[in-house]
Amino acid sequence: MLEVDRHPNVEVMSYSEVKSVSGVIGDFTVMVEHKPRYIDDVKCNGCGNCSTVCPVYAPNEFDCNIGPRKAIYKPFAQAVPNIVTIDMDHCIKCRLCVKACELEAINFDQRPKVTELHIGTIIVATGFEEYKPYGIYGYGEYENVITQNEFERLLAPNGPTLGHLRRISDDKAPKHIAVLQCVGSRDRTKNLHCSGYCCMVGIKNAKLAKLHDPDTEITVCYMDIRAAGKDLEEYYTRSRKHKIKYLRGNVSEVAEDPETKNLILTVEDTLSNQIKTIEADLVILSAAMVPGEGTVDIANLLKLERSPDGFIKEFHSRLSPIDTKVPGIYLAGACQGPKSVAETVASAKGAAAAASGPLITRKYEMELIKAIVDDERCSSCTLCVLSCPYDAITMDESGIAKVNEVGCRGCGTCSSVCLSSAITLRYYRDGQLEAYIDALLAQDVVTEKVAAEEEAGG
Amino acid sequence: MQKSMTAEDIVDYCYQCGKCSGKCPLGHVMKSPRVLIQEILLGEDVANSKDIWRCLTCNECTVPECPMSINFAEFIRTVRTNAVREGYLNFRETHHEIFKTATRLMANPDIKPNKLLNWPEDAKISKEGETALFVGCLEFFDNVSYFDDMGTNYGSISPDAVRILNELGEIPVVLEDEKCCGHDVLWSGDEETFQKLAEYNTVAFKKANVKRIVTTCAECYRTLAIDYPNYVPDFDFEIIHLSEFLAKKIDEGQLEFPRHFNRVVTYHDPCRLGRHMGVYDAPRKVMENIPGLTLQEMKKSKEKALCCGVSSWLNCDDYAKAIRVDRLTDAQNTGAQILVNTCPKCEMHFNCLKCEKGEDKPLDFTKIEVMDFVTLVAKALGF
Repeated sequence: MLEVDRHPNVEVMSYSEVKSVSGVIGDFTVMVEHKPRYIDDVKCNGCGNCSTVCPVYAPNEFDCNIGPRKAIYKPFAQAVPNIVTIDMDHCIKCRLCVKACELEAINFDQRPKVTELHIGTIIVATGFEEYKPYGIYGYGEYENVITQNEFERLLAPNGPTLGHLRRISDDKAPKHIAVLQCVGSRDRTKNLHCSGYCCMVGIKNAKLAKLHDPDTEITVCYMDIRAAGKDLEEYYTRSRKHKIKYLRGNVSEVAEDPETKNLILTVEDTLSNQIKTIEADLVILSAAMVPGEGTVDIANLLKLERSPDGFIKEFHSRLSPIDTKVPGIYLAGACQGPKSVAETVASAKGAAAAASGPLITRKYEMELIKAIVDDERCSSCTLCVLSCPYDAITMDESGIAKVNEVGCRGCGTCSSVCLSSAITLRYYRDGQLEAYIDALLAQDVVTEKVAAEEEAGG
Repeated sequence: MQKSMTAEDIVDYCYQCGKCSGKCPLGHVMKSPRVLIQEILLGEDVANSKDIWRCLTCNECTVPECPMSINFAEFIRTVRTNAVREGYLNFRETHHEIFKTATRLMANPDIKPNKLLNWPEDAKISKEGETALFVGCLEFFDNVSYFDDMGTNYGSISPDAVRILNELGEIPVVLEDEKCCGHDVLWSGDEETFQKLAEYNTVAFKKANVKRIVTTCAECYRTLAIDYPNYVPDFDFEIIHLSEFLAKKIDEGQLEFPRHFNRVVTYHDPCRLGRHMGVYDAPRKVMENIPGLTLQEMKKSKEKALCCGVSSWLNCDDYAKAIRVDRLTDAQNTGAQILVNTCPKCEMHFNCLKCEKGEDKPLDFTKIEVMDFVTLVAKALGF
């Protein structure tokens, strides 16, 4: 991240939000709002004196709300830029930080600032969020039921327990960990998609826990281990050397022992048809990968579609996963769908190459399926302007509709609302469609088709 | 669930995760739901299996948590129907099959049940009108005096329901010749008898110009709401459970309980009203509005409510008893004086355990009284 920040051709705008996007490929206008940090980003050197004196504690979002942070804080140790931010929802304005800051970098009068950018191409890389499985297996109710992300923070050297693996309820090292796969994914009532990454995360974290204490008993309850991808099956195979128990079955119930806070799992070992009861002192849920909270907003801003799973829709899921239907907007990483690290890197490099292509060659190839206006027929009613989902139609000085051929995506909405039949779509003009219909209705074609279908058994 | 769906159609999404098996109250003693589904999906013949009859059809396995939203009870019902069609009747009836025999007799068009024989005069009913009350087998349970020794009061439930409706300004239709809803024969795979009953009742209610049918029994409710429209295409009545009706009247401000009724109660969600129909809150809402009444929840309630142990008069055995012991222990541990429920069958099964005599009597459950929801509301209103 630091490398990116220092690159002469890259400007990083952190703590900022895209407010509007207009224009077409090669000429996008983007308004970006910079949220106030209440810190002078030039003066602040990230020394952290202010955080030390700050008397207010708030949940640490970076540590999945396990453990605290201050109201004036750096999100995490390697944050870029390396400066602090004041969380005004929690700040009590005691101004102790102002006194502690030798560089006089704190400014309570900062206001949001808007920058206008003129850019050629856009890459969307808004990532994913971990599904919060509230109400499933007692998550949110039992203290020792946590998700993989939370578990990773418990394992991390810079995490809330400084890398010591401890239970949240009583600060004891867990002796029996149960890892539950497919939580909130592969489920028609929640998310039908397979998130793909959770199998490997589950195995990896089970191995890490074994490295912390080889005597820890670990049971992974899985439905299918999907270790497809380079080296992944080998990794799974090697994990068996660590004496991790793999039990094929989706856990039916998790109940808590109110005294020990241990968890009692009921699960069918579907390979031996036996119903088993397992007592674990820590339960880790491998929760689904879902689109981030802001994905809807960014998709609406960029006029992108979303697939049924909520991720941003690509041009074609198999043949063109990086392009979108909007020329000049590309997708990188998990905003398009669940991805592993390797897939994310590949998709990011692909998006970077795709986005720089038109900028370097100053050329963009597109299809000719666009709306065209018959000037003599246009009655200047502006219905087409109102109906165009992509704002690609305007009225020129003489009151005739004008289609921006780069912005137009050939959806045909305008031609269907046009009362004077002045707008048509190239390749789909009335005459062409009529010819199609005539050909289809020609007696011999229809009978041949019916005969062929009957032969095929349909 | 469409009538035309085959057993395979209902379960074809199953990916054998096994989540259902651990939830099944009989998972330890019968083939787990997952295995039964797999056998069907692999095309094996299960018609002669005992396990398809052992299932309690309580749906605890798959509602609401089956990842593939499979309705296991519907699946079992379809499998049973197929088995009966093929001539396999591999199940053990309780009570020497008297109840189903009575239902089958009733399906004969010449037999008239004459339900109003002992009807009390103060419960006002009409012959025609928009709203009807479906009485079901309650009168019959009482009239044959089969369960007298258990201290049940089935005969008073329907008149009480009518009195409650009268209080709200409704004079419901109660059909003299209404026949059994057919729930038990349907779940025992006897589609033929069910079809006759469903058609008969539909015609009878149409004749009385009924638009809306209120039920007091969870089983009748499910059968009228889900199964009748599947078997009788022109069955287009609005079906509502009395608890829902009362909850609506409370929302509209038309029902108030004038007197204090100081009791601690707990509520047992019958599978047919809860997991089959998704009605959990209406009875609770009504009870919470009774002044002085405290509602204590059991450990396993709402979607997780345990079954009463038997359904459709099949296989009452030690396992069924063990489930009932669990359930009544759970109820008694809440400290409640009354166990309220909306299903006469559950009420019967719990009372049966309470009244059990002899050396192997499991536990003492005399501290808790089992009462129907309608009786409770009637008592709270002072009838």
